[in-house]
Amino acid sequence: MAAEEAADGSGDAALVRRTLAGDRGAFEELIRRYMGAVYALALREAPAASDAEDIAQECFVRAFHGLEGLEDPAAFRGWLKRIAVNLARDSARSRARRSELGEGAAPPEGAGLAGYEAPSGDPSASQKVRLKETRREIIAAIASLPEEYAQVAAMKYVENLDYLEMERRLRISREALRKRLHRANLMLRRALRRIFPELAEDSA
Amino acid sequence: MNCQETKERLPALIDNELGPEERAEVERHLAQCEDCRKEKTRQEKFTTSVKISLEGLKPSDRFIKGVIDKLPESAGKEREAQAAAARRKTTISLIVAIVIIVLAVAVAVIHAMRRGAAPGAGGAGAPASPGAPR
Repeated sequence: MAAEEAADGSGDAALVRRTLAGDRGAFEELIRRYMGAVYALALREAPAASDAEDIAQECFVRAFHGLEGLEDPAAFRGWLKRIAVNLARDSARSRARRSELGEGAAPPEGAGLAGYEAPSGDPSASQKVRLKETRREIIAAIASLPEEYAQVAAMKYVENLDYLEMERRLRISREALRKRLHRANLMLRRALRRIFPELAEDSA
Repeated sequence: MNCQETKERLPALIDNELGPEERAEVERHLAQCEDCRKEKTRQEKFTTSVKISLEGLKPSDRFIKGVIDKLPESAGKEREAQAAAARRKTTISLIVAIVIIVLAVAVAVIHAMRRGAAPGAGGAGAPASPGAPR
């Protein structure tokens, strides 16, 4: 992580230091860099996008308040991920408790990505179930990638960003971005070979 | 361009994010390499499947603002507003207290003046009154 640290003050550690010095724009940059990955982690646990978004936002708010306690600013990425995972799990547990107590119609644990209708057409019930399951698996696969790959995969597939925007947010070259995306794709295809068996094979 | 370089560029080719020269180079390689063509097809199918599956999932445009609004700067503004409200409350209380004190003093002064005036008036009338009827 530290090895990737950019010398121009745009690396995570520099952004953390600038945030601590009162530079709000630096924290916004950190949010842009990680919102997709944090949101994917939240989506993995939360039943609806609005819940996941609340969890992801809360993750950044907590990170902001806890930033002074982060001993190694270069370790921001892993630290943020731990906050996100803990928040998402706490939220899943409290939803499960509410569900047990019969409060509201909370979906069972693991029924991630509920509340999403199919993007188009009017698929049958079984197709909807399959789509939901596919989404859940893809999100879980993205969220489970090593952090730097989860970051680009979420930017590309969850946030739908173009390459220029990804380069801007990550402050890396087109070449570096391309390599990272390629690696992320291969890892994702391997992770998702159960649902896309014909696409898993690769030789790169 | 070799197979490795080509495969690294396939996602960018599929995403339409390659410059014209690189695109031409990749396509030249693909024209003569069946293995890379197969890989291109797989990557294409994968990209399409994932994009379709995750359609409509992206975080809202208000995401960042939602975080920023919850940070201490706005909390500071809130605190400032609370402090201003508290200051206003103090000022109003002070004015009310002053008004009460002024009124109390005024009442006391009037009362004292009346008490001071009453014996005077009685004193003037008292000696006169016994003799007046007479």
